[in-house]
Amino acid sequence: MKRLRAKTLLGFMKKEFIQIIRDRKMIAAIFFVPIMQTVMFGLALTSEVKNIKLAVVSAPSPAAREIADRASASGWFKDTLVMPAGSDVYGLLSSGKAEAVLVAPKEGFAYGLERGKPAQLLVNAVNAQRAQQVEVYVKQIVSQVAARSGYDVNSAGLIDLDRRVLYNHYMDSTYYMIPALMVMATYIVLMVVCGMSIAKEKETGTMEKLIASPSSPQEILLGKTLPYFFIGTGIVLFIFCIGVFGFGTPFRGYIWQLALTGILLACAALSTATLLSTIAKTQQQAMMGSVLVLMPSILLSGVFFPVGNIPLSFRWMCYFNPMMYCITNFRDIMLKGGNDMLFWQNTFLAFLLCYVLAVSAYKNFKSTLN
Amino acid sequence: MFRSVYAIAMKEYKHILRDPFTLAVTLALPMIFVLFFGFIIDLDYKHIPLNFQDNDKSKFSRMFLREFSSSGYFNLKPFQGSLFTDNLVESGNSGGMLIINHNFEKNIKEGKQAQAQLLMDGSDNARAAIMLAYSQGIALAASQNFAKLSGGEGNFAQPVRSRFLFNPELNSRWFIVPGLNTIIIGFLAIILTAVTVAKEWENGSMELLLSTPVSPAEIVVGKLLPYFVMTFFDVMLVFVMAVLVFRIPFEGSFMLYLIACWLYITGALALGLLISVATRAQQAAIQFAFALGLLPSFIFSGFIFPIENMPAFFRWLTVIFPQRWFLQISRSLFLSGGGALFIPFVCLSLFAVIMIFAAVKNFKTDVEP
Repeated sequence: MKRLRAKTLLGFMKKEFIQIIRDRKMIAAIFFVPIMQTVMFGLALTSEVKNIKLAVVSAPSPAAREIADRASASGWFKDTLVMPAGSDVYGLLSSGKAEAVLVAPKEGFAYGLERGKPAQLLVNAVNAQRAQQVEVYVKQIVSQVAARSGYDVNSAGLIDLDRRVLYNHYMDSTYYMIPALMVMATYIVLMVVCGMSIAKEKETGTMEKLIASPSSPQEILLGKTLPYFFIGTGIVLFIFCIGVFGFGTPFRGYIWQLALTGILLACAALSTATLLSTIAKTQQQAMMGSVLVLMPSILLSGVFFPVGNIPLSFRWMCYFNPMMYCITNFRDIMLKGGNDMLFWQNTFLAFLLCYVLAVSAYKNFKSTLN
Repeated sequence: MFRSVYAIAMKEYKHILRDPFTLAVTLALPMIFVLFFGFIIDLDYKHIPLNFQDNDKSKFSRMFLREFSSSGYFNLKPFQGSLFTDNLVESGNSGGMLIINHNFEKNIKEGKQAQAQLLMDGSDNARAAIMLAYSQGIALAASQNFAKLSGGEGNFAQPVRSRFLFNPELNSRWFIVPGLNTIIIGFLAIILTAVTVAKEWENGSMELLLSTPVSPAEIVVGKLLPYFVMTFFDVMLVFVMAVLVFRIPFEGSFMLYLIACWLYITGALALGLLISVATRAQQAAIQFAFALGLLPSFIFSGFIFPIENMPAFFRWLTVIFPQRWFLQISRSLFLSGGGALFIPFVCLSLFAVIMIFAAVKNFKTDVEP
C-alpha cells in the first residue's frame, strides 16, 4: 500500500531536526567536517610545488648571484643558497639543506654558456612528481638569466613548442580540489550522520515504535532521510560558495547541471547510508561500516588520485563508485564549462547506481520490518 | 617482576587468540594498505590521452608525433574537424591538444624554428605540470634528431643538464611505499591498545587486575607487550614487501630503522593507553584512534601531500606529530641512506617519553584515588 502524506512527512522532519539540534555530536559532525576539509585541502594540502630549497654551487660570479636572486623573486623557491665551488653537493641533498643543487661548470656559468658547457643540476627525487617540476623551474630560471645576459640558448632547439595551460592557467590546486571537496565532505557527513541516526533508532528500540505508528514504511524511510537530503545539498552549496567567492574557483558551466549532480550525489550518499544501517545492528557497527565503505570510495573516486592512473585491473572498481561520477561532473562543469556528452553519460550512470542502491535499501528496510 | 609481566603478556596473548576481530585487523590492515597504496594508486602520469592535429603532414611532423607517443607518457589520438580547441580539450578525458603548424618541415630545413602548439587541460594541475615537464624534454630530443637529419651536429647548447638522485627512475611508488609503515604503526598501535584496554575498563576486569599483587607498571608493560610484537610484525612484513616485491632499495642502516620503529611503536602504544585511560569506553577510544592516529598520518605526515608545499602555519603544526618524523626517517633510510636524522630521532624520542610519562601519570592517578 503506497501512502505518502505531506503532513506525516513534515512531522517526521520536525522530529528529526529537533533530534539533530539536540545532539551536539551531530551538529559538530555536520559543521566541522566540511569546514575542516575546505580549510585543509583548500589551503594547506596542495600539490603545487612551493618552497623549493635551491643551492647554487659556483665560484662567486654575477651570473650565480643573479640566478639566486631570480629564484628567490620567482616565488617558487625559498632560501636560495650560494655555496663556494667544491662544496659537498651530495651532503647538501641528503641532509635536506637543499632539494636541488645547481653546479656551475668549473670555469663559471659565463664560460659554460659561451662554450656550450652545461651546468649540472642535481635534484633530490625522493618525491618523483615534485622533482620533475623542480627541474622545470630551475631550467626556466637559468634560461632567463642566460637570455638576459645575451646568450642565445633555446632549450627546445629547433622546435618552438608554444605551451599553454587552459582552464587553470596558474595550475592552482585549490581549483582542482574544491569540486571534489563538495562531493567528499557531503558524502562523509551524510554517511556518518544519517547512518548513525537510523542505527540509533534501532538500538534504542524506537524504530519499533515508529513502525507501530500509523505511518507507512515509505513515510518512515523518507521522513528519516529527507532532512539529511537538505543538509547534504546545503553542504554542497556551502562549499561551492566558499570555493567560488572565497578561493576564486571559476564557475563556467550551467547551474542546473551542478544542481542535478548535487541532488544525485545526496541521494546516492543517503541510499548507501540507509542500506548500511539496515544491515548494522548497533551504532558502533554503523560507524565502522561507514568507515569501511568510505575509505575505498574516497581512494577510488579521483579526489586525490586520478582515476586514469589506476591500473586497468583495478579501475573497474571505480565505475561502481557514484562519488567518481559526481566529482568528474563537478570538475567538468565548474572548471571547463561542462561537456554535454560527458555530463549526461556521468549523470545517467550515477543515477543508475543511485537507483540500485535506493531500491536495495528500501527492500532491505522493508524486510527488516516483517 | 619479569614473571608477572610474562604472565600478563600470556594472558593478553590468549585474549588476542580468542578474539578474531583483533587478529583479523592486525593481519588484514597492512595487506589492505599495501594493496591500495602499492598497487592500485599510482601517482605517475603515463599514457596521458592527447589529441593531435598535424597541419603539415610531412616526414618531420610525423617524426615529431612519434617522439611524443614513443615516450610512453602520451597516448596520441588524431583529431579531425575544425579547430575549436576549447571544445576539444573539454571533450572527455583528453589531456590536451597538440597542433603542428604548417611549414613545420620547411622551417627546419631552412634552419628556422618550427612552430607547434601544445594546449593542456589545466583542471588537474598536477597533470598539467607534468605535461609541461615531459613536453620540454620531448621537444629537445626531437630537435636533436632533426638537426642530425638535416646535417647539423645535433648538439644544442643546453644550459643545464639534470640528474635525479635517490630515485633515478622517478617512480612514485618509491615515495609512497616507505611511508606505509607510518600509517600502519600510527593507526594499528593506537587502535589496538585503546580498544583492548578500554574493554578491560568497560568490563570492570581492570579493577580485578589491579587488586592482584601485580604492580600497575607490570600490568601496563605486560598488556602492551603483545601489541608491540604484533605491530612490529606488521612493520617487518611491510618492510620485506617493500624490498622484495616493490624492489625499493634500502640504502641506510637497518639498525637505525629498527630503533625508529621501536621508538615510534612505543610512543603510539603509550598514546593508545592514554586514550583508553581518558575515555574508558571502546567506542570513544576508536574515535580518538581515528582522529589522532589515522588522520594525521595522512594529512600532517607528508605521506602524500609534501610538507614543503604547506603554508608556514601548517608546516609548523606538523612538528608535533610523530608521523612526520618517522616518515622522514623511513624515506631517508630507504632512498638516500641517511643524512640529517638527528632532529627526527630526537623528536621521536621526545614524543615517546612524553607519551609514556603522561600515560603512566594518568594511569596511576586513576588507580590511587
